[in-house]
Amino acid sequence: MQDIIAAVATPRGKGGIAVIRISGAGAGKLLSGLFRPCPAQIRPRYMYYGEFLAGDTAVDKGLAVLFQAGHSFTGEETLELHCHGGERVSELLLEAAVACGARPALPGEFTKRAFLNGRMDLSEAEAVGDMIEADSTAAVLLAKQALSGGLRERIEGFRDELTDMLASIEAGIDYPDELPEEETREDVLRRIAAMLEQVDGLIATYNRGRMRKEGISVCILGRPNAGKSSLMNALCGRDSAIVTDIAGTTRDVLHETVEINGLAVHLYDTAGLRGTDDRIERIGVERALKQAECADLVLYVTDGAQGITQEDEQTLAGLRNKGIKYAALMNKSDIAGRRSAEGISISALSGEGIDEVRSLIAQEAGNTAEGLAIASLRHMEALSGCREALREALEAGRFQPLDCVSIDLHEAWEQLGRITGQSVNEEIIDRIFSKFCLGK
Amino acid sequence: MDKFDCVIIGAGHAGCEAALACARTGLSTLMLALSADSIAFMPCNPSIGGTSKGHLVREIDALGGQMGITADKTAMQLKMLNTSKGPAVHSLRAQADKLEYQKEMRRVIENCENLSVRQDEAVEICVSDGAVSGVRTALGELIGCKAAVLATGVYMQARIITGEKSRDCGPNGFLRSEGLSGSLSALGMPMQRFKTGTPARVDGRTVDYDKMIPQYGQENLMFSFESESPVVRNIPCYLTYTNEETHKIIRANLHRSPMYSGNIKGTGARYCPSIEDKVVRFADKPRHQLFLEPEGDYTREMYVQGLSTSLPADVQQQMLHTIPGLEHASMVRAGYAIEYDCLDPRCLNAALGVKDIAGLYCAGQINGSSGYEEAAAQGIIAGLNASAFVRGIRPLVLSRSESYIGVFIDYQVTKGTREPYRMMTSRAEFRLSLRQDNADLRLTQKGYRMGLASEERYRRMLERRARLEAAKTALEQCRLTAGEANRVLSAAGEELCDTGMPAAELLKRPGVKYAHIAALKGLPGLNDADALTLETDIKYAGYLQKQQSRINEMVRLENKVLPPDIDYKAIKGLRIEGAQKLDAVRPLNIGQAGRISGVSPADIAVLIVWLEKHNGIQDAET
Repeated sequence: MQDIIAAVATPRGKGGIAVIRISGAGAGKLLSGLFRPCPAQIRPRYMYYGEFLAGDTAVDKGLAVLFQAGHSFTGEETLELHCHGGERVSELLLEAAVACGARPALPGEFTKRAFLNGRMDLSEAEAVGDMIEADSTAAVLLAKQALSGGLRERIEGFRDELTDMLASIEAGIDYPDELPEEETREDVLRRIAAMLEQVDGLIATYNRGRMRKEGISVCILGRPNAGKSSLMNALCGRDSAIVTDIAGTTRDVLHETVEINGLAVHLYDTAGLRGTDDRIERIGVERALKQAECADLVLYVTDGAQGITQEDEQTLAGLRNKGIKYAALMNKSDIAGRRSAEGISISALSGEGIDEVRSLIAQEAGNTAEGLAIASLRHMEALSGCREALREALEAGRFQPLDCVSIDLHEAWEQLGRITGQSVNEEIIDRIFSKFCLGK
Repeated sequence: MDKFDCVIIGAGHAGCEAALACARTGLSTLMLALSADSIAFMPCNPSIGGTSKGHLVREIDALGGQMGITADKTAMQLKMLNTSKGPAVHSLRAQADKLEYQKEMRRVIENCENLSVRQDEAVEICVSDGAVSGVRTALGELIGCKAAVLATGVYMQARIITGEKSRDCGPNGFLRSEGLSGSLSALGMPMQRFKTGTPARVDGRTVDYDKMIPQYGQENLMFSFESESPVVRNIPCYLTYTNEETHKIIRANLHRSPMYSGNIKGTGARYCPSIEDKVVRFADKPRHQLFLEPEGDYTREMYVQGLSTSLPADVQQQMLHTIPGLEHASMVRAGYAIEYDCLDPRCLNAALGVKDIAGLYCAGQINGSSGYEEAAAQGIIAGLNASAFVRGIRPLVLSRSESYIGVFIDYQVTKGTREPYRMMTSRAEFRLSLRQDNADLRLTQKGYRMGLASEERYRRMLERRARLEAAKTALEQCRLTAGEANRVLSAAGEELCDTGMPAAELLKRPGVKYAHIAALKGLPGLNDADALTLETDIKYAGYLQKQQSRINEMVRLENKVLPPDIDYKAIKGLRIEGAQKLDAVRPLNIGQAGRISGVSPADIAVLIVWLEKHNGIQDAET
């Protein structure tokens, strides 16, 4: 028996309204203990206005609505109580619901029920989780795209095409007299090559997709007093880092998240790079370099008045060797007063060139508002598996019987099914178990 | 009252294998035949095997069945089909001498210990306490039994139709079965009505063979792993084609076809369409191929394969006369369509037993299948399982991963069928592993354990396996210099190489044969059949391995056994449709559950979650 679960569905803290969601067969019956006046016959998807009860006491006024099984997020009968957004009020109502026979939901349990009830496939279920965690517009868009089935449609498109190819190979296997293999072979190999290109394209969106979901991490690096902290503040639009003209003011890594073009940008301001005997500062320099190594983009700030020094050149060479993307910024254009060919001229103080830096960062994550991008490692793995199988199919197609090609195409088809949850295999099952706590 | 361990109802290809499987495993067995003259009668084409069907014959043989042996003894030619294609589609086909096949099978049946034949008609299956207790016959007898196999073919409430004429009778005008289907209905078994058909036969003396292309068989072939010597006769078939003129006549007379006029209600097979269906559905095809096949050495009648039809006899004659070589052909028998009662096979479990009636098994066209080979394959499984039931041992259920028979039965009982259903190579997802050349290696041990495959047959299989393994080991330890390799390559007509290589690597080159290498390097000699198996295993090793990992995955899901008494409707989270379909089929395991139409992957996830919980509770309790 699956029981009735309840949780506060809106975020903790003060807000306009809070929603308590109660899901499970018979959830509607709980209303009489939680709400008055409770209608004898509750009309589904109809808002009732009344008082919320905790025990016999009315604690708030608000709205109640019932969704029938099959017409709710979870696919089960679901009751929603919309009360005022005080933390204590929603807490009280949840406790009251539990007193009436519901049980507090485990993390992800609503989504799990939605999946198990066939209300969504695996990629959509994951998207809901991402939606909750999304901390920027781009991430919300990305999550929405997956949720509306954008990714699923694309994957289903691939799977349809594979099914079609398999059908033409298998027709030749069932009617070997009537269908010459060579014609089929030519057609199928051409189609595999075309699909391979498309799958490659989708795989190439992974990094972009990941950045859109998790945000792009940008590390500000440079010699002391180049103006890194000023740049940080300029990008944040407020005084986040302490700015002085004393070299070595910033010692630890400072972190701020800002939104640029709807993209979450994690900015890291670091200690100026120089050889020093100060132990604390030395640790700061080490941290700065470490931070640079795991950044998606390094903004290398130089003092425009001095130009790129030999030390700067050494650091930049080090970044290049490690394959780290960077952009050189010539700061203090207000005093230096000249445009350098070596990088973008900016003035962290006057704000000159800052928009240019912003668009540079946005470009790094690709066109943020459009295009389908994959953002989950699991999707990436499945697509890579699909690509591998397609490559092998092409290889086999050169000299092996088409039947061998069909084995590879089946594999590609299975791999794609892992994304949408159409392939039921051990791995998917394990994932279901690990993703959702079963409370065995 | 007569009493037997098992009664087999029907004497066709399913009935013969079922009866032999029961009797040979020690059950006192009675075969009830509508006519004792029509044992193993072939009412349609005079051939056994063919694409994918040849695999079934080999598998029946590997289990200890009869069809392959009898086909070898009576064949007019044997041919390995599709040898230019991949190894999975290589298939044997025999042109059977119909009368000799029947005579030979009847001789085997009548000389089989524990097996009696009686000419009578079953009209009622008696069930008490949910188990078969006897069979009532048209002559008024009540025969007691512990188990029964229904192998009624196309005879229940049969009706044959040619154009506007129809008659209540079985194939070839034989008696039909009256009443039995009513008895099955009364027992709650779900019935359907299917249609199939057969083409005209022409008088060979009136055929102009010069206008057709003769099709001969090949030497040194045989179906059975038991047969001592290959088939020697090599009587040709003939290839010809329909043309626009033929199609014009068909189109002009479509209104007289019972399929189109509505005189036939039964569902026909898409896989074995009538010529009128082909002309309508593939309107752009200018011609369809036809084979003239001899019905036997004793007769001049020729079977016109590919021209199955239920158009009126006068139209059939006109059609024939448009075909090169048949311009003056005289028709001996007109083609006809036949309608008959059969079951929805989803009422069966994977052992081919009726789910709600202990001891009752079904095989062949009663299960909605089509084809002699498909019938025989089900016959041997139903017979063995009826025998297992009486003997109180575990039934034989073959998996999709080990046999075409398993694929076929799994599809029937899991998905059901709405039209006559035949074996297709593409249905076997593991076909590269399930080849006709290794059927014995896959199945003989199972047949032996069931008590059907003889000690001798089992020993031969073990010897063959040992020979193959020895040769494989020798091959894997052998390396050739560039010079040696090039001698092999030039003998095979392949491009030469620059360096030496391992023998197994060399064998992977397309034209290279094991014999080439063995002769040069003194490896163990192998006969043709063994060499073929070894070569295929080596040449396709990579793909066989890929297939094996898929097989392992399926086996894992099939090891998740579902208890037979699950109340699917009480499992929360299953969609209503999913629960209904699961309840109707009652799958043995998660693997089978996943193949049921209407059961979604989400349903499977729910089932797995449920099963883990259920097993967890069980484990905690024990």
